[in-house]
Amino acid sequence: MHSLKKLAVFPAVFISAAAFFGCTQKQYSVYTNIPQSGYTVLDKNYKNVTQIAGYQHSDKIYNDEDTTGFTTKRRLYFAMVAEAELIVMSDFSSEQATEKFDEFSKQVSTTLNSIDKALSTTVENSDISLFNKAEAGAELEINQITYNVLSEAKSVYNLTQGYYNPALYYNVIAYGFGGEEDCPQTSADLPSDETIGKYTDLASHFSEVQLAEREGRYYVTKPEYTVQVEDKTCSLKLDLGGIGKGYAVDRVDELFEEYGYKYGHFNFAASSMLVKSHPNLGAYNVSFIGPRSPSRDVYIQTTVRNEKISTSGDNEQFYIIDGVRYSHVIDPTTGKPVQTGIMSATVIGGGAARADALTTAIMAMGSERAIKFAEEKLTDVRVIFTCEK
Amino acid sequence: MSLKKVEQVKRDRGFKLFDLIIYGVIVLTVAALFLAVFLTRNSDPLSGVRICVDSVTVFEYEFGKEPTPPSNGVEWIETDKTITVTVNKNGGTNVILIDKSAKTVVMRKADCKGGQCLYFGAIDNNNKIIYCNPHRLRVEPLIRNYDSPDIIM
Repeated sequence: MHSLKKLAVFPAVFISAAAFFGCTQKQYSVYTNIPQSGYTVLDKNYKNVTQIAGYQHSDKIYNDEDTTGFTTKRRLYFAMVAEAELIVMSDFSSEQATEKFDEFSKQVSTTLNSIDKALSTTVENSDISLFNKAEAGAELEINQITYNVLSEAKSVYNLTQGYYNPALYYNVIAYGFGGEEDCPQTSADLPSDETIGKYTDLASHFSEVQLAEREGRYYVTKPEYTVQVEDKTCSLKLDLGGIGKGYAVDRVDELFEEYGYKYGHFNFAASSMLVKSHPNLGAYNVSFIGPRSPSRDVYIQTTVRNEKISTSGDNEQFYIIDGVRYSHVIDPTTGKPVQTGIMSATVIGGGAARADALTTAIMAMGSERAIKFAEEKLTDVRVIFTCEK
Repeated sequence: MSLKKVEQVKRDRGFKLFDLIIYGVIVLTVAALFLAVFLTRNSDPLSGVRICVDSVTVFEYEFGKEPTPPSNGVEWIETDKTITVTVNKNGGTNVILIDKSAKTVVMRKADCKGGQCLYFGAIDNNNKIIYCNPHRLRVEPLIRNYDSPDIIM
């Protein structure tokens, strides 16, 4: 009997070891339309790669310019409740070059502030704040930035058949994201299915948001549809946070072109990024942080030059209740935080505003639908998404 | 010594040898686990931390050196093991705890709506940052290589 007890130590030790290694070596799936030669998987937990068809990869990675003597300038900005980082490499040895960069940096700042003032849900008189406060059916005059972003939002809404929906405003707030309410601590704090159902129904009327341009002025009309939640009548509200940073990156790209800067990058809160050329290597090696890595280790790397990147994930803004992860990305079919198994989605190429919205949509689609969508509609951009299942 | 006693001693000797095998296996397993943790640990340890508000640096600390002096809206308390930095800016308060021995930095308290900055976890390497969006506060590793050929997103 005594020896049997001692023998029991063996399985205990091995079960503990297996549990230890099992915890640290959980396997995740990667789906990408980048051909195998165009990327490197760096984390063994992400070795299970599924190839999505339809994209032809062709990077021009080498420079044809002498960049000897180039130095780096860095600026930080704060807009849309997030930080943006600008890196420019150029020959800054002359006073004129420094002045030109200062002017460029000022233009970047002005551009970001203009976009913030137009799209912010927290700035009191922004176009979007005024839209959100307006009565159902009201028509409001908006500036060109808001018009352009809403046009792009409607375009991606149609392309993704509603999987990108900026009208899920109430759902985001109800789950404690967006800064208006505290995050739920227990399942009792979560919003009820009935309330979420009403908010989701309201958001499904986003297609009824009408845009108009008359004599060089821009207008938006709010849908007539409302829902009753407890004693409140709710009209449709918007949050363009899922597309606004991408739009800002597109405008900064135009400024890079206008000022003739070819080298560097502009990163808007790791959500959207402009990658120009690297002065020595041509292309940048861009690595992406594994969405379940506590030490933020990277899982995949690819080369990028003169392209824009957008990424969405459930790993930055989230909480876990009873083992269920609640992130800020809402599934428009359920009105609840995404539970599709997709942990992160990245789109490289094309416009950053479009890519920004597409990554949110991919997260809500789930892997099967996302593969079909990428194969049919995203043959002009690189797509990577990771899945827990 | 009786025959019964001799047999018992023989049996006991067998158990002792078996014990040694068990203990040896345990020691080897623990050593293997230790090596696994050691080999897979973060190879880019945090060297120091910077706290910025509205993109302006308000506090800097490099491990093993003196922190920057307290300034308007920024106070810190240092003990043998920790530095607790309290930032009162943009109408709110954030308390950041620096563990000097573990070389980690974590957002300990924040009175922002939602408190999302509290969910970022600890900064324990040079790739991680913490944002508090409502207070426009950012905690970042002191060393970041801005003209690196690699971008981490």
